[in-house]
Amino acid sequence: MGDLDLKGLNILVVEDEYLIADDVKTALSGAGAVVLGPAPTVDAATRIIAGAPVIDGALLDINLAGDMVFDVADVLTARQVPFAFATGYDRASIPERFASVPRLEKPIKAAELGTLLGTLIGR
Amino acid sequence: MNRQADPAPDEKAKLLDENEQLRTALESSLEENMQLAEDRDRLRDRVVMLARELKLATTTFMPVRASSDQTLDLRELQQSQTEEELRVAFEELQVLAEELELANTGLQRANEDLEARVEARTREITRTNAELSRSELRFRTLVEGMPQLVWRAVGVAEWTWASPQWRAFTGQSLEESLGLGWLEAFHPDDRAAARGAWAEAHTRGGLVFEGRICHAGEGRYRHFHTRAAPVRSAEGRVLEWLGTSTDLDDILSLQARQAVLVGELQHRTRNLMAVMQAVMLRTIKGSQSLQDFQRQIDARMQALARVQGLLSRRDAGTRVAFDLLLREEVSAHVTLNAEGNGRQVSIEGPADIPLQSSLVQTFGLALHELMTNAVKYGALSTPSGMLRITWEERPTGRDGAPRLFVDWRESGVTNMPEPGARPRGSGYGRELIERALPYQLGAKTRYEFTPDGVHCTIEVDIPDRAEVLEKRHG
Repeated sequence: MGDLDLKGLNILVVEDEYLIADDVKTALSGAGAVVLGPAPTVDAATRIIAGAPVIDGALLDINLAGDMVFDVADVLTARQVPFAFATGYDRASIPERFASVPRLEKPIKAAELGTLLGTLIGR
Repeated sequence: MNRQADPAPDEKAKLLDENEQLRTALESSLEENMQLAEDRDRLRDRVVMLARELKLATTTFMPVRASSDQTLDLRELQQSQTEEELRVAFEELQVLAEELELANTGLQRANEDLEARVEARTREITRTNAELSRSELRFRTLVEGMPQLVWRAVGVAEWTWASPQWRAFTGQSLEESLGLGWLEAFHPDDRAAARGAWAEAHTRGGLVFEGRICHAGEGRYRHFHTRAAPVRSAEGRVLEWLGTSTDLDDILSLQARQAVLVGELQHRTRNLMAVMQAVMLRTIKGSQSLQDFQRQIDARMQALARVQGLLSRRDAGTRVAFDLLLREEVSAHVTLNAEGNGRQVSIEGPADIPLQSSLVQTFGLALHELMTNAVKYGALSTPSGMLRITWEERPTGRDGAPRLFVDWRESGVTNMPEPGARPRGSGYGRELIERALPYQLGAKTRYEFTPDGVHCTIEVDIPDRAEVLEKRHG
């Protein structure tokens, strides 16, 4: 994550693959962020969002063991939380309303992730 | 096929036209014939009358001549007058007879000519009719044998005929489909499009539109591609429209399925690369040397490849069974016989318990790490060791749903670490079992060091046997 400073920021991570989720968590923690989750399912993510007073940004895997993450994305949009998608899907699989949401293609580069989240959040 | 279904209206019009000409010719010939016959009759009457007069004149003349000479002069005068008349009459008769002869010959020729023409025309009509009925038969066979629904229309969308397939597919009778009745078989939302396409069909010189047609048998709408072309007269006038509706439903669902599969493949490939990236990072962290790294990463890539093999070899819509995954992984390290027994290994449990597809990869990696550790430090590292893996279904899920319960027990191992001690090796296997499996699918796991070996239990939900294609693994 280099010199990027995500210190004190609450970042939600939604990713169903443990190995990937854990790597993302490690990378974000390394940059000083407080990781919310990671959440492997839509339900788990929804519970975390409901219980978190402050969320500064989020990284969402699109496909969670067969369920699409878009309900979670809608809740975040309503709360005006900036977020990015992490996925192997092309843009055509993403609903029109999320056309402007930035997308990180898997496999994710840790540096790209930090830069993107920093830009999104405005740091 | 009803009378409106005769093919080639142009050809028919031409035939009718020629027949009309022939009929006119025949009528005028008959009229001429009658005229000639009348003339002939008149001539015959005249001849008969003249002959009668001649006979009368002769008989009157003879006795007069014999009985008296006094009236001779008068009689001679009368006689010469009569002779003159007779001569004129004979000449007239001769001319009439010649005319009659001429008229008869002409009549005969005209009749023969007419007869020949009628015969030729009859032959031609017979041939054309046979041709037409053959072509009609071909048309009908083609129309009734093709998968498309065929129909005919005049004006704007006014159907005049629908093929038996249309009637069978929609359940409409021929009468119901005629006029604008066919529109009823289309989905209400697609009727405007159908009308719109018809509205511009004449200017476009063709009809094309997509619309769903209700399948009476299935009780649902299927996607159809409908098109029609005008049948034109020699002058270019539109006589009628010949249309087909082609069932696209299977193709469209295959296309959708293909799009899902392509997306799925892309997703899986990307995901696999991400997992490999993660495995690589872990392996780097847990390696003491480059050589150590190479050995470990090689084994893990092979384990991942075995899992991918299982996932790609299974039949579409089915799941990987636990016994298959376990046997594949154990066999990569030790030799097993058909019963699942090796020299220091026994595996035992019911076959065909399906696994959630999203769990297979992590589960496979976890089993690989357990096996690697058993070979390096555990039951398979010492001649006295024994590895026994058993599994069964237990009704411990939500509402008593069955879960898969796996028991991994190593025994006969000396030099076990103290409970709670740092694991030997990278601890990666233990992490996968204690953290990854519960994280990904709510598995309940336990991993512990007992005095004579590792004891590990894994409990996971058993999914429905069939996998829904659209529900993609992530």
